Amino acid sequence: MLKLDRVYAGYGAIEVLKDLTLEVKAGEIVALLGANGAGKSTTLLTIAGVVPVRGGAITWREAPLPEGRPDAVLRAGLCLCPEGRHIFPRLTVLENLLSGSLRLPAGRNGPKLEEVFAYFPLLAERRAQLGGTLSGGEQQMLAIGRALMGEPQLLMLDEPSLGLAPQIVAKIFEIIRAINAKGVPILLVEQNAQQALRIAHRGYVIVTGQNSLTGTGAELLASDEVRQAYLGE
Amino acid sequence: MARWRPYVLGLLGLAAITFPFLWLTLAPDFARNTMRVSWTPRHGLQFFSDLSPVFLGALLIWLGSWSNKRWHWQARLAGLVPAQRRAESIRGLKFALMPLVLSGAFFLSASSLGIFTNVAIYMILALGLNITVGMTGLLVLGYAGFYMFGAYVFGLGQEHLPFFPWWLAMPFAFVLGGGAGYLLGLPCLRLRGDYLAIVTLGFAEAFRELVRNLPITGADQGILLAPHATFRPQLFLGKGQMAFVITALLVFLAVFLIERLHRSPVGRAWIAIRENEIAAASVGVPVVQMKLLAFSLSAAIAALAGVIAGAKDGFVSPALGEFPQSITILAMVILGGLGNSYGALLGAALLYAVPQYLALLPSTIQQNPGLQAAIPPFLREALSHLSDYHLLLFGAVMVIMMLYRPQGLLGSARRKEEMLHR
Ligand SMILES: Nc1ncnc2c1ncn2[C@@H]1O[C@H](COP(=O)(O)OP(=O)(O)OP(=O)(O)O)[C@@H](O)[C@H]1O
Ligand SMILES: [Mg+2]
Repeated sequence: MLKLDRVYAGYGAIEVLKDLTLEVKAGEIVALLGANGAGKSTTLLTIAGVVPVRGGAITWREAPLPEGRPDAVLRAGLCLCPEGRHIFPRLTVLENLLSGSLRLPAGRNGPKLEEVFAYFPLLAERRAQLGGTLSGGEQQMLAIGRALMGEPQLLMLDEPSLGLAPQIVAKIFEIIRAINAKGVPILLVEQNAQQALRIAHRGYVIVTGQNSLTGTGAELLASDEVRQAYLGE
Repeated sequence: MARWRPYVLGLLGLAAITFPFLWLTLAPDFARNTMRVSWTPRHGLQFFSDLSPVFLGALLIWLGSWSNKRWHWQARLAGLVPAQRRAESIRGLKFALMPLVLSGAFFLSASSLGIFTNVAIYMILALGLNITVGMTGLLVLGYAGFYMFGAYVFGLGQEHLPFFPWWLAMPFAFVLGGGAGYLLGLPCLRLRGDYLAIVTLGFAEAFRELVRNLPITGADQGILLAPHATFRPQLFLGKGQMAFVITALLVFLAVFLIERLHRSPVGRAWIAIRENEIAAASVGVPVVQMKLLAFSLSAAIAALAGVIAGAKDGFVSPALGEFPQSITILAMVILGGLGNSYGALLGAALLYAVPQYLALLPSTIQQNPGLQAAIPPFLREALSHLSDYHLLLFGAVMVIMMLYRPQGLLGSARRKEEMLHR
């Protein structure tokens, strides 16, 4: 569905992605692994149209993805849940969620909300609370919920487990799996390689913006390189 | 009765504010540095003193309720419009405000009219700046630069074109001002927070220095405008009345349009950017385009205000673009409540009009024996030094505001409804 073909991107004089190629097929969870600063977030931001593409091509369903237009990318069905729980702190939980569907035709909010509340019952309880007063884990759930409100046909999650307690991490991964089970392909960036590879169908490891390794989740989990670099074995 | 209550209370409130002005005259006299205070019925305005707004209002309400009982027009109207009673009555009051404000052109003294015209100009400026600073969250420190830019579009155009009256200059300045804002925004909007503020300040100062030193812009003296191009007596209105009516109408227009925009997807996009830029981008807000739109719209509005200032004063000069101007406008927006258009109006009125009247207070007391007798000596003493300390007072007010009401006078109440409705 989504293909990155020899993509280059960066900021100013800094070239971050160098010749990066990857693919997400229908119904897949694809994990994107790499050290700090390898360019994982940059990859997602480039797909989302926030960081401009400098070379190569991004195609979505066999057609070029609109470049440099976050709104158009979102309308095409690609939703990004950015790193670091970027919610609207002074809006309520409900308002935060509704903001996720602002770009869609009106009238689909009701069923969408039901769906999000089914994944995250806690958000339903806290719907009138200000986003900024939620705990870190709750904010992460809110950020994922908001991305779901945009009716994603591909969901990009950037480090959803960042700074969360192990139980909550497990819960988030469970929900990611549940979302995927309903047919939404997911591109997942994670530091938590073990858990990510366990739920991922396939994975990519990138080093300084370049492809280094790829394979199924199980293959990568078994490979020496991944074991040494990310699992500390 | 419950449905009528807001109308009745609103009209009574308005009447209570305006009623004293049927007798009370506060006429600033800048030549003699004093203010004439008198308490007599106005001559030539028998109509108003005989049939004061209170009676007029009472009559209207009685007529309204009587005709409603007879023809049930309110129920019929309510059938046409869905029940949003509160919003409707507020809108009704806003509508009632317009004729009231415009009638000020007839019952205010010439010098008060001048003050209120300036208030209205500052209101337009504060409304414009509120778009960038309040709604979009971009701090702009050089806003007066755009104000001056608009004035010079008028000045230079009027000098070099055979026919360029104010009403023609307004759309020109609006478009050119918007264009200037767009061009300046392209490089500036890559910067965040403080840097953006400093760069806009730098550009504004550079522009002012340029104007001061170029021969075609008339240096510090500025450009004198031909009388036919400025506000002048027309129809049954005098020059000052003309300036007031036109500026006030533009304030109403600006509030109406900006508030529509505020509630539109564009407005919600601005608010999303203000609240969290990355989150905004990830819900599909085209961040750069929306920032550019906010920036150039607010520049265009300032340029429009510049034309009004030129048409009112009969000349344009670099004084319009001085740094303290930018700061004053910013203070108006912050005092009123960031992001709230009505707050911007209130801030502009308070920060411009109050110091004007305050400055005249001591000498007014001194020259008026009646007042002198009425005020106890210690209070008189304090009041006589008031204007010396008005900047100090202003600072104290700002500090107290930051401590107890950082969201501004009319802040937060609306924040919640800002994002929600489609
Ligand atoms: N806005 C920016 N301007 C300049 N350089 C940037 C910017 N954002 C990221 N970079 C640089 O690009 C490189 C890749 O950053 P990126 O955020 O994609 O890393 P990452 O793989 O997501 O790392 P982490 O695991 O720490 O989140 C880093 O060297 C970073 O310093
Ligand atoms: Mg990252």
